[in-house]
Amino acid sequence: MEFDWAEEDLSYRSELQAFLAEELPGRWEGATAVLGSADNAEYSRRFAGLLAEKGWLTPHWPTEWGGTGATPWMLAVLGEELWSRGEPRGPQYMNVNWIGPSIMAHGTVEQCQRYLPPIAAGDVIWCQGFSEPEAGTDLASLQTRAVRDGDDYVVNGSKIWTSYGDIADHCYLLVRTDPRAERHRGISVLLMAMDSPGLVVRPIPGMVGEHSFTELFLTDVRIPVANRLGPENEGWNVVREALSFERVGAPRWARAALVLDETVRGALEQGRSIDPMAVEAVGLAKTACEAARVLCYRVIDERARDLPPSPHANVARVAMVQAERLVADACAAIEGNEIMRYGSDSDLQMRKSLAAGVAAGTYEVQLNLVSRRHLRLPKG
Amino acid sequence: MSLDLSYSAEQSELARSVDGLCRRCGAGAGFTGTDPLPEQYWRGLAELGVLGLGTAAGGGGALEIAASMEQLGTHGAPGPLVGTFVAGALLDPAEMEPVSEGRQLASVGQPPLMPWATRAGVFVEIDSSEAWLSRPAGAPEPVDTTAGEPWGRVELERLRPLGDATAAVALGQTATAAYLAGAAQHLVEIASQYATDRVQFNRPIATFQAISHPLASCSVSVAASRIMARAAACALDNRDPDAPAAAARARLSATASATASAYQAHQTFGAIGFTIEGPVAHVSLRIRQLSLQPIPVASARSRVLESLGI
Repeated sequence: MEFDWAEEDLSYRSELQAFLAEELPGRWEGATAVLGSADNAEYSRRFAGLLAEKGWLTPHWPTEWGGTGATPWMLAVLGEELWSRGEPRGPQYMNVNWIGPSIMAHGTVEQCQRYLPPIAAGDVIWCQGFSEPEAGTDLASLQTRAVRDGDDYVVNGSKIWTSYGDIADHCYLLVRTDPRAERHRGISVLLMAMDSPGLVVRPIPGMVGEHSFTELFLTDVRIPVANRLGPENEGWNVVREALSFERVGAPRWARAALVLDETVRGALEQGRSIDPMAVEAVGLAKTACEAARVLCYRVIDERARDLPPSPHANVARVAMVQAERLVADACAAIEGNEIMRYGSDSDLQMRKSLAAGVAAGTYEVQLNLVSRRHLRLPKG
Repeated sequence: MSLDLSYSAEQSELARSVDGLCRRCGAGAGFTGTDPLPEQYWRGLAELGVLGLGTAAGGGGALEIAASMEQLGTHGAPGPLVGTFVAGALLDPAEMEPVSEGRQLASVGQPPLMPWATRAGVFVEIDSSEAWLSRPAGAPEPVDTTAGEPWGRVELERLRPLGDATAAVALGQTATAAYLAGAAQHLVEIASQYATDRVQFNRPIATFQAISHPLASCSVSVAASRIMARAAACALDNRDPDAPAAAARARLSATASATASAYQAHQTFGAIGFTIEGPVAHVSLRIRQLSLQPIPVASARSRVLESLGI
């Protein structure tokens, strides 16, 4: 049995922390300022460019496309350190974690040469065009239609809840190319330029930090057939595989754990009394963060051993939602009124805790998957 | 034993008037826009006599306050509501008059972070058992809050003690509980309607027990909170010695049920719940805020424990 960091992981973390201490304004205060918002897109580009120069933006990519052969554990260290500081890569975490790898896996040589170098340089922002008004959790019911017309697809429909749609250069777009096929078939992935004529982007102000959604309206948008990723009508498998690159997604527990630690530290430094209920809430929250951490590590270990994706990823996602919520409750118990200071770390944590069970696959769907795949319960 | 927790005809009429005012003023972006306290709304509350409830001049008592607050919670209505009622229970009539008439706002809380401090004309510092009429020692430093309220960080100078605050705190706990119960009831209702209307996987999402059971569970705890808030208001109006503990229990119950209902409403509505223009966010953020302030929820826990001799 072994449960410890390798020397190379520890030294990488130290080097990364030293870099972040220098680059992120005020470390902790800066974290909220750079929280993946549209206003801070330029910060994201500058910061991701710096990471690219250090070889830390796409370390897990093949060397052919700018990678350095980093292990999944080093990638985990990178994710933890960046996410806990408010994710200064902003939207680009999607680029490097799954959009780039998906293009590598399914793209033509031309697509790889065109799209991967800007991602590896930290110089491009992508968004994902998945959900539609009537296709949320039930994504396979999507209706945005793409019809072949010569060398183009003509696309009509709308997408909603698209993060960064107003600042992105490209969109990883899911469309229906065969309306007669069974719902999981007949879907294709198109790589759409966000300056395409016929595309209108409407921001939707949101309550979670500065980060806002957008709605995309597509009217006769022409997208070259050459921009299709993977085979026509087999986009469902392409996107499923793309999302499995992430497995557990962002290490949300790392941010929650840091917010908890900082909130407790702040209270102790200011000599504020912490009542017994708050003490218990802190204990529960700290434990939940640790539970999420080890369950995420189990998934990373699978990847490090080149094992196929397993239900352990769903288990870890559930644990992360629980941790985010318990940390918000603990912060409220410690801070009292102070948690309500808009934009404070604990205020943002509270907002994020409300969103935790919805973002990136709902809590209920994750529980369904745990029930079926982990407990092997029959489907209802 | 008798159990009649329905409001009287007059109390129900007041509740209907508050509901009507909120419908008029809260329509569109009335309660979600950039103005944290629409003037027409606050003036309307003053004209209805809501801001003077519980004072000698204004009449009414805890039940009228509870009836009003349930409606205000239903609409996620803004303003220093709890602080106003607490101030009314503590201040002299002359000091309270501009607050009851809506000409001044009351900032009631624990310094340095005081509610509505940048706009308030009357400041009351309060802990679980004592209160002081106070004044700011300097200009408050503006602090925006979770629910978009203009609070301020300020040092207060105590002008005079306002005596034992136990009854005023109990009234604040009851008012908070009634507001939270109304807000939670509203969220459970709109989430249930949405779950009935929203079709995914070719069926209304309400047919999934993962959606319906948590909503049902919330509705149980919200029902209890509403009854407890009304029971606490009865106890206060009857000067029952158990009233402070009853108010504290109601506050704790409402805090728990409203927080759970806010989570569940967000789960049910999905992304639309996180939009500023959607039906959930402004209510859920106000629930989070009201569950904490201006009377600390910890004081309710202490009061309940005290009533048990702990």
